[in-house]
Amino acid sequence: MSDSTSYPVSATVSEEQKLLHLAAQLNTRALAEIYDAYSSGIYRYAMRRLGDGAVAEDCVAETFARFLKALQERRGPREHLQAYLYRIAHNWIVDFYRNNEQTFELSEALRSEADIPEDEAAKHIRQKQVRKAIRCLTPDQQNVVALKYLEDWCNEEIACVLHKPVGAIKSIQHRALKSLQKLLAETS
Amino acid sequence: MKDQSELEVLIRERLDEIKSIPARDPVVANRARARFLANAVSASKLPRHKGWSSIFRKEQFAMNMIMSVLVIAGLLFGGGATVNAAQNDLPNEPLYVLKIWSEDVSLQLQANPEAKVDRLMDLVQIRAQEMTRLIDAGEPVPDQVRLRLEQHIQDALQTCLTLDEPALDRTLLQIRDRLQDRDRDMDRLLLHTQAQDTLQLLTQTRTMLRERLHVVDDGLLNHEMFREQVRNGFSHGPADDVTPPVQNGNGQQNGQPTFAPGGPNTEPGGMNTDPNGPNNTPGGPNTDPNGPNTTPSGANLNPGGTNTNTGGNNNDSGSGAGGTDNGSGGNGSGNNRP
Repeated sequence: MSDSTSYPVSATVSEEQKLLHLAAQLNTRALAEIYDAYSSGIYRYAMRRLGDGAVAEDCVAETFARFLKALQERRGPREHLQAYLYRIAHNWIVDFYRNNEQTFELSEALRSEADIPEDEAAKHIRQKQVRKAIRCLTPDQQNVVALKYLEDWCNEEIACVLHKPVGAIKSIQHRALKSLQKLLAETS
Repeated sequence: MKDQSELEVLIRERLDEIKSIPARDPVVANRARARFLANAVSASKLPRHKGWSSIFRKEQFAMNMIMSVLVIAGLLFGGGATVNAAQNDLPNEPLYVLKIWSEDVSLQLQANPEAKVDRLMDLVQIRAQEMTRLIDAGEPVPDQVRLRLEQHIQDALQTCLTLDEPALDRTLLQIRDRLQDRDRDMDRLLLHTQAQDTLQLLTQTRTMLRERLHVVDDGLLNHEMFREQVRNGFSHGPADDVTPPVQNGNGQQNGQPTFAPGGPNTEPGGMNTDPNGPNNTPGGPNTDPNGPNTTPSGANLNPGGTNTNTGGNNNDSGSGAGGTDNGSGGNGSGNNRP
């Protein structure tokens, strides 16, 4: 990842395992540490994919609520915490678009570009096109594109999120790029 | 290969357009953090099932097989009768666990949200009846009954979030009527109770019922507000006392949230984090860990996947506040359903 601020506090695997062990006991300090380490990254990820601060905040809240619930039910992650949290966030975003596609597009359209300078408005339109093109990909392709090109993750890290081998990630990435090129050409 | 890297460069350029994002509002971020931590604190105080999950682990496959055969045999040869017999059991009786389990199963099988709310309100009534029978028998009412009653109401309100407007109106009216009935039950029980512990428990239950009634009444007037309130969780007791942590200029929190008025939080600006440490406070901030997506069943079943019921376990209705004990959850049964 290029953005070092998004790295978890627990940099090593053993530290992460220790943290997860404490979190599994619902230790509030461990949970606070996890929240502080990952929430801003999740927010940034959600924001890039959704383009709406309030909805991105909802995504963060729901991601951590589900994490907490999983811990309560003793089915929380035992490793790869970051991948686990991003997977929840990704699923939430896919669900969100599935359930709110029309209303979200309408509210985006109502957020008129008329009040902002011309170049800003053009940028907004281009951003909407990009997000829409990403939404048209399959969920796995969306995730690979977002993590690889927006979050600058490496294939091994993405493989953890998707529970797939690195080779599969590469092939998803290849297909995603092809589709995305086509979709962006269409929307532009 | 060259084509691939060229394509990658092209796509990267387009994707860079959505890479830069405005800074996160620190106030909202702080509030979200405080809410999560408050949820974490209340979660740490709730009783949790112990050991159930281990039965289902891969390494215990052989044991699983034996268990499965026994359970299936049990269900085939008399399981139904046993479950049926358990329906009249009280918390101090041996088959009560089975009764609770069968209730949970019946809820899990309920796909229609309106029917689920109806079933949950039936369960609220059953809990109230248990209280009545225990008091009539001169027995103490375990806190577990009250917690479960509160959980049923909580789940019912959460389920309402999935309803459309007309259905929500109908369902809220139904919930209101039934909560009023339970409120009257509590009034009646309070008149016939002498034991101090039971009196306190009944008063707590009645207060909680009235607060939820208030939420439902308001919800009938304003659905949006109701949805917002249920999503954000209810405060019962001093939940409003949760103050967000101070943030410095870099967006880093300087300390943990504090829960005032103070119980004996041994760490200034922090929380009592000793897993075995004593919690001397009678109750804690009671907030709801629920998010907006409350459908109990959904397509995506991976861990933390989509459409999972995030229905909270907002059982702590203690009226105290202060220290934030985070000792591991207790061993109570039935209060922490998936």
